[in-house]
Amino acid sequence: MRKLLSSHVVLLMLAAVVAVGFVDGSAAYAAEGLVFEGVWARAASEGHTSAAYMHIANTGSGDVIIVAAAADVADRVEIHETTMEVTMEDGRLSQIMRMEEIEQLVVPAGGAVELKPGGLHVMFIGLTRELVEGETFALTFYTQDGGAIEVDVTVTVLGLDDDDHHHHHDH
Amino acid sequence: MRTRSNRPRRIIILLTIVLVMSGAYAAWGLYTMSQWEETGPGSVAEASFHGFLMDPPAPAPDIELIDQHYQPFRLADHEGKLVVIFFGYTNCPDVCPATLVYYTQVKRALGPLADQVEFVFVSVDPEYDTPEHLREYVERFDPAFYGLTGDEEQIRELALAYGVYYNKVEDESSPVGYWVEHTAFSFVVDTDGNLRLVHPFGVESEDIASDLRQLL
Repeated sequence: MRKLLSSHVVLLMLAAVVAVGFVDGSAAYAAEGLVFEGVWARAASEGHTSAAYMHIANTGSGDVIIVAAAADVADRVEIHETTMEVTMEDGRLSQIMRMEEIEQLVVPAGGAVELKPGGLHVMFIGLTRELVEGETFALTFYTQDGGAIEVDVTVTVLGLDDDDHHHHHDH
Repeated sequence: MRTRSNRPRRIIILLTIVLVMSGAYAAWGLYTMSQWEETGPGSVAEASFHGFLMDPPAPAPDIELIDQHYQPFRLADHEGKLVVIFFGYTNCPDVCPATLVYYTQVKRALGPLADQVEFVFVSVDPEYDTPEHLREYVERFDPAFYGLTGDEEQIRELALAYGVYYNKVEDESSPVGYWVEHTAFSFVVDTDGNLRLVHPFGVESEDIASDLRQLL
């Protein structure tokens, strides 16, 4: 089993490396070797919560560790991960959704991290204004080595079209 | 403190789901040999669903709540249509909106058949989720979706009847002071009012649409 899993990891890594070669670059930001693609956040009302999703590739030779994020659209910006716990209780199947904050997001050298619904996401807690379909706002990531990377986030209700995602290699 | 890198955690979760699914198939007596014998190998493909099939189908627990327009909603009033039910809350930032987006995609994939399907979002946070909040939230995705709420007791009983777990977790970082952990299943009630299928979160919208088409 462990061997099977590790070969999956290798495949994923290879896929990520190959994928970087095909990035069209139009909506990509590169800083510290990080390339951000398909960056979007869910439209939501003032006072509510929204989340941003994206693909982050690291073309550099060292791991990049993201330790914080900031944007002026919400009281708090945190990186969270949704986890699904599947259990069987009293003969009934259950799949419980939980969230936890991620203190450090490691983007491995030559690898990539996918932020997507049901998994990792940047959370905007307590929106100070409505996020309106079609607009963009700035999101800044802070790295452990003191770097700051600003990316533009497109607001949408339904998410970006599949054409905007180049990285469905983990299916 | 947790550190997250590109670990194969997703794979482990998927494997777990597959393993538990196998268990669920056994528990619910799915795809019984007798059924296979009756239908024959020719229709096996037709009978392949992407969720857990309830066999034999049992009447779905009735729902009597109010919708986002303060109108009463009774599940029994929707017999003759498929009803897809999800339990969530409007401050849920990730899985709930993602599920509603799946539903918009399912509707699109169904085309004209979508008229025969209702999509229902039941709040597990009735304290905060007033019809106004639900209207704003649900109708952002599709004005035809239902957003239902009721009093705490009604919601508790309904969740119990559907085997839905939910639990408020206090967290000062939340805008309302808590998050709600909850079951992320979608329940499909067939045209006869029976609970027929359960889709875990993450089933692709085309697959849900294909299942619904088989039930219509």
